[in-house]
Amino acid sequence: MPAFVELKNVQKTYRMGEVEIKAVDNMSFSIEKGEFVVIVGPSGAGKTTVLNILGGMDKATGGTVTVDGVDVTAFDRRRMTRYRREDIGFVFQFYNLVQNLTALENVELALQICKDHLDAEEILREVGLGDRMDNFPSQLSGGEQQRVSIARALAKNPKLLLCDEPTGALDYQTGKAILKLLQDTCRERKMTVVVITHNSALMPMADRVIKIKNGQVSKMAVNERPVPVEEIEW
Amino acid sequence: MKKAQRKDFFVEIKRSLNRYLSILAIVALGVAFFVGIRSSEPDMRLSADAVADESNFMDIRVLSTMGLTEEDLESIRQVPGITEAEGEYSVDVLSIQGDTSLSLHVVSMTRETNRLTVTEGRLPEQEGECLIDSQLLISGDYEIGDEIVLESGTDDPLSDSLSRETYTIVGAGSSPYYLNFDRGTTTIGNGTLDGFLVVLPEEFQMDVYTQIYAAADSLDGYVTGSEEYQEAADGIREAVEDIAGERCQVRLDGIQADAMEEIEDGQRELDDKRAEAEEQLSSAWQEITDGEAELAAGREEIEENEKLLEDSRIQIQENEKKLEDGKAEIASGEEELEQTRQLLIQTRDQVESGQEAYDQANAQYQEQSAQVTAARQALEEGRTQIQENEKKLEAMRQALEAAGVDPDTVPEYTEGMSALQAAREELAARETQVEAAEAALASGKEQLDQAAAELETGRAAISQLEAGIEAGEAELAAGRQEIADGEAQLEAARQQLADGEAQLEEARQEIADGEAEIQDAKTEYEEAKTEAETELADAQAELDDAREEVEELELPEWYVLDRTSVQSYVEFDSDADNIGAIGNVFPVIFFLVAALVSLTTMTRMVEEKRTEIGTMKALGYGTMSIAAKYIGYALSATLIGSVLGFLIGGKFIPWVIITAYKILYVNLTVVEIPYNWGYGLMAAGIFALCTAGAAFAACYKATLSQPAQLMRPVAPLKGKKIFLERVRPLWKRLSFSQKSTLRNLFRYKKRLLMTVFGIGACMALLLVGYGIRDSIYVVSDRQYGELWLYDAMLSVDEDADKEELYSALEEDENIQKTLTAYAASMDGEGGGVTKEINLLVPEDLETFEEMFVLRDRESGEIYTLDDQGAVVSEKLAGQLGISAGDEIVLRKDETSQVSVPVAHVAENYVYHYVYMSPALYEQVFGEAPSYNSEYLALKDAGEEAAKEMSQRVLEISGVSGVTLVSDMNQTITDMLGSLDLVVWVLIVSAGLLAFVVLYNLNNINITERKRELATIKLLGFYDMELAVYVYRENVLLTLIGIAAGIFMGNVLHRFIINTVEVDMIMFGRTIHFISYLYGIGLTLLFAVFVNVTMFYKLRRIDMVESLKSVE
Repeated sequence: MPAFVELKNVQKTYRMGEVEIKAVDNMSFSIEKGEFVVIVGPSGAGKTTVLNILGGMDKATGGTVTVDGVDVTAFDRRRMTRYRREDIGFVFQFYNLVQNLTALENVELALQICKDHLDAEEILREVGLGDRMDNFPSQLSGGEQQRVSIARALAKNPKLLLCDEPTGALDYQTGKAILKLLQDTCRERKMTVVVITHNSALMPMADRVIKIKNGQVSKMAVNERPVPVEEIEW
Repeated sequence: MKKAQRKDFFVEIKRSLNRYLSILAIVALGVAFFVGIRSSEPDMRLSADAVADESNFMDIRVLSTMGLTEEDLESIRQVPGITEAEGEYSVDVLSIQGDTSLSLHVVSMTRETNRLTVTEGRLPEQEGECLIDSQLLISGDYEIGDEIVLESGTDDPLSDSLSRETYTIVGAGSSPYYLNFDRGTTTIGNGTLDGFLVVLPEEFQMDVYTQIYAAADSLDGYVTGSEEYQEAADGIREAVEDIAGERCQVRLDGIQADAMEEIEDGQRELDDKRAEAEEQLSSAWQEITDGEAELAAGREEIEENEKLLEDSRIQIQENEKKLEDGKAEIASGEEELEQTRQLLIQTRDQVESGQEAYDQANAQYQEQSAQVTAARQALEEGRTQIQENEKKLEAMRQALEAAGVDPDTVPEYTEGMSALQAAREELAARETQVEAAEAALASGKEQLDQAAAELETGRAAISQLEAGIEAGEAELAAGRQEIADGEAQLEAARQQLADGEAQLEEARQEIADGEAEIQDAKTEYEEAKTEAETELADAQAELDDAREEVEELELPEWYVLDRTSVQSYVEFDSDADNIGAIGNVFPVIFFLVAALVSLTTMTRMVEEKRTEIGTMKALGYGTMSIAAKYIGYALSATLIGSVLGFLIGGKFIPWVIITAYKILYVNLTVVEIPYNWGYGLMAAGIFALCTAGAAFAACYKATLSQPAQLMRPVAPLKGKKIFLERVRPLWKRLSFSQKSTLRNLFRYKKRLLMTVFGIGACMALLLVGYGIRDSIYVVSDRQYGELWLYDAMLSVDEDADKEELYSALEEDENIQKTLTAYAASMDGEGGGVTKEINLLVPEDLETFEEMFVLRDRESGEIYTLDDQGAVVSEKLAGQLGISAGDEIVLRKDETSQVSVPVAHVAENYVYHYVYMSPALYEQVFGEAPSYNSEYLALKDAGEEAAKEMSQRVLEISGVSGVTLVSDMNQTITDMLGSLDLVVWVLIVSAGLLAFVVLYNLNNINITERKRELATIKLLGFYDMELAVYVYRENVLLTLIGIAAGIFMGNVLHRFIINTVEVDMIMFGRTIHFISYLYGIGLTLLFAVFVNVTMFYKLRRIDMVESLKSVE
């Protein structure tokens, strides 16, 4: 049986005039369903690019990406959008909430185009924002905003939850709380969660760690005993 | 600027080429529109002026009530400032070509001024050649090489004015005098001139010029109609007017001298004639007198002869009498004789009958005598018997007595006694009788004897008578002979008399004839005398009148006119004014929007670049140095845009507008579109100030902050509850997307305002464009379609034969109804304002209602014209500040003015009207209206039929003019034709503006919300869903913009209509519903177009780039 997520020889080349930059160079790895995956690597290693390709935000120049048995790289524009809409949940460093909508509305915004979704208020309560639902993003702290962002991603009930430096803009404690939320979500909901970070300290909490360097996977390891995030210090 | 900065500058432009181009485009549009529309007015004037200059069009023209002479022309040439002057002869004639009759204005060719533009063929070079109006060539009535035959349109023969009737067309061309189709009016044909015809001046048989054209080179430098031109032209005009008085005196003196000479000649001739006539008359009189003397002599002779005749007649009469007496004598003699004869006969008869009677009586006597003798005998016998019986009785008695018997008792005795008694008595009676008879017999015997004697006398008398008769008869015969002789004599005398009388009668007849002859001669003489006298007196009177007339001749008057008297120039000027009025409003709005948008774009740009500005500041660049990039960016876009707009719009828009007007003004052969640097600099300057100022202000504001602060991302605009959310029940009802749309709208307030203003302006411009058309069409539609239902108006001389006119009108096959009315132009006054008004007094109020609709414009209430007050047209009422119930002052001339109560104010678009009933007119003016117009309703009001009707009607004596409603309507329709193109310019401009503004604002919107949109895209919104997310806001904004545009458009429209409207015309005040639909439709179309374009931009939003980090 093939892996839940499988990248094979994925390439991404940017052409800047005469120069050709290979952001992702022949990258291959696979992820099993329900795993909490941490992708680490230095800045510019190509981890965001690979996440974008995995999330249907960007197209690979070469290679294949298979998610749940379907070849994502073969998707056209519309199929790609549907893939993002139905199968992917995104969490960003800067939350990317719609400033003009309240926390609840931000979640609803995602849900109104999604068929098989969860209840927005319930999700918000689950991420601990039961009493801040009617607040605008500007009225929330960074952590709270990131929770809204996670709630928005989760509410869609995606196959894959992709997080790009979810704690990058947060302080230590808050970052830890967010990571816990993600880890708990993975465990409780059997959700496949991929977290990108440059922080190697987070590696122990993952089921699977993928190290990336210069656009290539430098090391991939399956952690038999992941540690709860509370126990990690950095 | 450092090298790096310069490089950065160009890279910036390249990177934000869209924004750069959009600023450039907006500026270009704004400048193009502003300069273009504004230049149109002066360019129109310049073009007309160029046409005038090219043909050396007259600056001044002079007309005189008595024509103008060669000397007048020479003096005008001498007027300072005038460089050329030329006289022109002209006459209006008819030309019948097939079924059509054309009215042509024939003019003599001018060489210096008003030069013709030959479009085909050549100018006439010799007599018999002509050049025709190119307009006639277009209409296909004539061709070059054709012969054209002219006819006089009046009672005067054509030869009075032109030397020939047939001309060969050698060319066609246009005259600078006519810019448009309109050739003016005439008093012949159907009243409208169809074109002109140019011939050599030698063709004209006139003594004086009809008008003189003068041109002043010094005026060529000015634009016709400009203040400078008018001022200079006025100066020259006044100079010409200054010599007018003197020239008029000279002209009058000349005319008077000529006329007097002619009159004196006439007088001499008349005097000669008079002498001749008098001589002839007197000789005739002498003849008559002679004849009369002769007659008198004849008459005397007759009288003498008459006397002689009378004498003989008397003699005859006397002789006749004598003869008559003789005849009478004879007659009486005869009578006597006759009597004697009669007597003889009688006597004879008497004698005879006497004899007879004697014989008879004798016989009778004999008989009687016998009888009597017998009777005496019988009597004697009786007596004897009686005596016997007595003896017997006595015996008996005695016997009886004897017997002792008393005899009385015995019957036989008694009876015998009685019978004896009776017999005794009878015997006594018989005795008497016999005695009588014996007596009678005795007298009879006597008588018989007497008769016998008598008879004897009778017989003697008879013989005596017979002798007398014989003598008488002889006597009579002699008398008769005598009379016959006398009668013969008398007859002869009578014959003589008759002969004499016959002779006399003849003589008398002769005399009578002679007398009659004399009488005739006298009558003839009298007649001849009277005739001659009358003729002479008439001739004298004529001469006297002529002399008086000449003496009383008023000083001729000169009309010194300038180009403002040329109809087509005036019309063109007013059209230029209209464009000018539009130019004062439209481009300003346009400009405002463009400036505001470019300003916003620049501000936005600087705000986006705050990080960069922070970096620069951190690196130690000064404010100016930093701002230089943005100011340069703004200025370069503005300048390039301005130059482009100026170069293209400044030429193109006036060209389009003038070309549009050329449809109407076909002879506008030159189109002058110079660059109006002033407008260009002004527009570019304002734009530069807006964009560069905005850039600088934004930069300055930015540089006030600390670099660190600048480099931190600007806090995103906070989301907040909008007012509507507080209205819970409403808010709850809204869908999620509606809520987010509303919040977004109010979140970007600046964008909301800009978009609403941009779309509103677009909508307003469109609305105004269509509205102007509506307003002008209303004049035609309402005035000629709904208010004035008549088709033609006739001007009728007041002293025309009305009966003849009416019957002629009645007979015309095309005239359905007529309304007699009094129309006069006078001054109307109210609230201190005086306006020229047209007074209309219809004779028949019922027909009036069928031809004129008086109503309230807003409520549509129909008013009836009655004797209570006048009905005043709407615009007039507005200008004079009067309303129903007030009074209007009407002034016929300087001296008479009356106040009239105003009953109603009625809808009206063309000219000022005051309607009055005849009774009211009479009441206020104190006199009955003298009807001078006829309004006609036609059965067939089509152009063809109406023209034919007007031609027919003009031939009726007393009709001096015909105005067709269809002609008036045509003028307006023509005007609209060119305005349509102007409206198209407005619509296209509005569309471009809308596009650029919307594009720009959408662009800002997308750039500003790139992150949000990328997020939404990331969430898996399809392209269409994302577009709808954005469009929902745009649709709402567009709708609000349209609503605002309707409001702005209405205000603008009203303003423009008020500005454009000329004094005499009221344009419609309302924009039609359909125009709103057009405006809305087009605005939506533009909006949709922009949004469709934006769709691709949305599609291209790069999620990865947008979400990578905070900008």
